[in-house]
Amino acid sequence: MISAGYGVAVSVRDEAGAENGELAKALAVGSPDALAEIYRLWSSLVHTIALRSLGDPADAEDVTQQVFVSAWNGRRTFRPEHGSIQAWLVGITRHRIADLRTQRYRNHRNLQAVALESAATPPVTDDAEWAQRLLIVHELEQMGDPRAAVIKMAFLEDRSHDDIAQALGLPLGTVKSHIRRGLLQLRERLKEVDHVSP
Amino acid sequence: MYHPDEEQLAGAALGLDELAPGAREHLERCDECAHTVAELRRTAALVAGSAAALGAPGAWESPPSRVWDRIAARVADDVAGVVPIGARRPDQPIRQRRRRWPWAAGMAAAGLVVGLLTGRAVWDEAAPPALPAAQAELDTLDTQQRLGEAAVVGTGSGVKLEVTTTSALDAGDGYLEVWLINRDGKRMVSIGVLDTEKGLFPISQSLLDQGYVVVDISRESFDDQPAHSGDSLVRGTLPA
Repeated sequence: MISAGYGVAVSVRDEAGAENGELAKALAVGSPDALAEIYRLWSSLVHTIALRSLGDPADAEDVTQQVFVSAWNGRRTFRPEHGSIQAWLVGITRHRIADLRTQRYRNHRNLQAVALESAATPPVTDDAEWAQRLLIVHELEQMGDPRAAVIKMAFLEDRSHDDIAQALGLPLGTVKSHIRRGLLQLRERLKEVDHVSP
Repeated sequence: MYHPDEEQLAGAALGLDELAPGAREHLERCDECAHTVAELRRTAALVAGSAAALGAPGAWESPPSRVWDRIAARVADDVAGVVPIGARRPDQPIRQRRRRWPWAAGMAAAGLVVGLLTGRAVWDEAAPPALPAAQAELDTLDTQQRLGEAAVVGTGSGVKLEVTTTSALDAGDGYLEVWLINRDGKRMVSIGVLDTEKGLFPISQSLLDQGYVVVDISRESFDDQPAHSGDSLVRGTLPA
């Protein structure tokens, strides 16, 4: 529980949507400690996406800084009803990475304008995929057990449903239900990235 | 129209269950449900590939602490009083002005909390600066991407323009020059060179009154041409 000095109380549990909403509200009214808490919870998600996508620590630091400054500046445009804070941040991260690539490409093009036109083709990237995969890893870490365990065993370890049911001591129907609902939950999170980013 | 519910579609996407009678035929005809199934299959593929994305379990990369320090400094500047006195931008509600003091009062508490979280009081830098009179967002000319802001501040030693960028702009092989362009689009004055992410440039109130209100940052080469290079990186207009 974090209590700000001006009537905005912020309390956070990573997995709880309601508290995600509280944090969003506190940010929207301009609470700097809401931003500090958001940074504490999700800066490693943002930074890892930037680092994997760009491959350069200095660039990744720039992007991470820009993402949270953008989040602060755009705090009144965030619509919690359309998605979670982390999905919003991931959306912003993708935009800032794309901006940085565009900037790099332009500089490159200017320098090489005449000499090496062919080298100035924009690089083909899979930024979106990095962002989505890492968001999924993050969501799996926040997802409670036994659902998270079921999803990991089914998708990452490729174990049979019977095997999972036996290992976790759950009825087969429950295992399948967790797989179905877990998959729906993750798809929802991925869709939010496109819905809530400015 | 009947649609199978999402759980049934998830089951169908994964081949978990026998589909209910009629559901298979429905999926062949219904674009909406087929689209959902395709999305769910793609999600499943991403989940399967997600382990490789992170590498070792829990191998998240935390940004170094200087990243937060820079963010905190930006936010502290913002909270401590970048609120126009003379003019209000249309997108800023009036009540925001009243919030300024509660924010300022909250700074001490915020500093304490963040200090506890990070082991340092990063909000200490938030000493109230001189009151700004007007501010402008600095956006790229083509994509309108916001890369910084400019604010007119009255200090003890006269009027100054404070220019801040979200990260260092790329000066290429040259340097960055800050200009005030007249509203008439014909006249401009150079007010200085920006060599970090932040600069404070002496200007005068009469300059603003004459209509020099468009803030422009250009990329200049080290050459014998004192005029604007024409290579503007960002621009923004101060409110009248």
